[in-house]
Amino acid sequence: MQELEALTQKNPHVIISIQEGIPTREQIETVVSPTDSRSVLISGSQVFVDHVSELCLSLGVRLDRLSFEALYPTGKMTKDLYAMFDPNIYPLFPASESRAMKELPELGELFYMVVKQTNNHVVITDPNGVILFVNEAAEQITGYRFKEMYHQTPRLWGGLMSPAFYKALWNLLSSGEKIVYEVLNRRKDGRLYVALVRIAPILREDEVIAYVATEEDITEFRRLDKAKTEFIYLASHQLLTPLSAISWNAEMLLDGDAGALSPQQQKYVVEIQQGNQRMVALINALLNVARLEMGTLSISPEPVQLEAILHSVLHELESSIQENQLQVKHVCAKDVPAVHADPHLLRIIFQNLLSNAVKYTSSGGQVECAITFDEENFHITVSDSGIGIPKAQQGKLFQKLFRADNAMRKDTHGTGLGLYLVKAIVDRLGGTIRFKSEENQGTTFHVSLPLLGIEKKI
Amino acid sequence: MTQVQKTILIVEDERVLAQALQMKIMKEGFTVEIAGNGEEAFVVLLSKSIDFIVTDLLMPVMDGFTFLEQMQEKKMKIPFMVLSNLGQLSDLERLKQLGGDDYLSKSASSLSDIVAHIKQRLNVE
Repeated sequence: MQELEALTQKNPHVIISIQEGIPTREQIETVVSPTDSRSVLISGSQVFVDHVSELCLSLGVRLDRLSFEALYPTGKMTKDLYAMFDPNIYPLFPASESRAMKELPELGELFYMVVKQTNNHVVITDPNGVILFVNEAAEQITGYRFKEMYHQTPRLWGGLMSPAFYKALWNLLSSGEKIVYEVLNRRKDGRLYVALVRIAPILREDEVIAYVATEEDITEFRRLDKAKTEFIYLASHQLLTPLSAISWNAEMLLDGDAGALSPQQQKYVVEIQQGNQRMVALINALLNVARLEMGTLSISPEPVQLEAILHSVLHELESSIQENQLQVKHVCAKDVPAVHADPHLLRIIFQNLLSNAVKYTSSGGQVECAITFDEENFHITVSDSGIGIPKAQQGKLFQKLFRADNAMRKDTHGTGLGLYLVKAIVDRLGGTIRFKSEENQGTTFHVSLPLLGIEKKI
Repeated sequence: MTQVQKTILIVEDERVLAQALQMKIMKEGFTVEIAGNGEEAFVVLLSKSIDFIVTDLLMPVMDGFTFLEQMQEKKMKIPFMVLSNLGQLSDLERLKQLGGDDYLSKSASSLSDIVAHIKQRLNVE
């Protein structure tokens, strides 16, 4: 009782009236004047705080157990939500002042306490993104207090990305989808952090009545991931220099610069060189993956003749093509315009698709490559009559380090990085990649990339 | 050979690589100077007349970029090529701004590729 009197003094807008027994709805409605903004009813140990607007009498509090209950939610749900989470109401009953709980809490009360105290960040907004509630973990991550966030939008600690980014998110959200994304946010003290955000629309009868967002601070994870990638990058780069030393010295031996070699010696040195070349290829693939993950695989578009890249890649594969006695056909549409694209990236695409086709096609088979174009895109099609991709494993084809079972049996040297790289590059260039494959029949890859509009990215 | 021998400067910190290149280039009748980094290269350039430079990029003391930048500042117009394992593709852009996109990847090129390339640049059969 004393608490309540003190409370009344502190809050002149709160009217307290006392009556016996549990109030009926009518009693409450008569006691509470529709013009009052707030009032508190007391009945025995039960305290009902209601937030009365012109529309609703919305919630009650039982002081002994410190709970909120929506008693007579007559108004619109959003209004209830505002009232339910209004920081001007709930700090009136801080947890420390509550009496010890002797019985198990009711479900609604339990939900409230769980959401408030869980170590996962939780923010609840209305359908317009206006904040109704944040929990303690959210206060900790952002550095803002609930009072500062209430009725603000999450832009308070976000808004650092491009407007287009947020627009795309809103479009997804308002269509009722749950979304997950990574974003750079800023704490109250100015420190930036990387957040993994999950937002779910809360629906009532198909209508979005609120959004619930949870955030995870993944700055440290990102930092470690970056350190790992940088390590792979640096280590790979350092490995290249000694490989050049091996390769060039083997070359000098083969050239007879240190005297003629016996056929047996010659054979060994050729083995050394081939092993070396495989290592160089593997390291270059690792370097490209690292560059891609660090975002430093820059895109510097320039006018490129696709056919020239195709020829140079085929030339590079000449010895394997002859070794496997493959028939290689290539068709290039007439008047393919000089494509405005990054030649290095296009080369990686051609190189991986063609070397796969050559590698996984048995002796006497066929490999075809076609370059075509239409008004908007150019298309690279690479097909082979090779071992194909098992149906069950097709879904994993573009995963990093994935290799199909039959591919591993045919060639033990692959890295599982080639198609991962191709897919990542195609994605970055704003294109698409598809494939069709039948085991033991062959595989066709189809890459489409925009003729224009590959923007410069660094 | 009746004409005056052309002199090529190799700027490369890995001694083994520099020596292998030197041997192959000398076999083609060129004179070769070796410098271990950009600073050493400038010392050579002070005393010798150089016709062509083959430079690495990642080197201690003075790296290839700085070396090429300073050559540009000093208005030294000696034809050059870069023989390196490029760190980033964006380095190519930087090279272009330095007046040369003549680049061969060290790990992807054989000695004979490189020698053929140099001869082509110097118009030597």
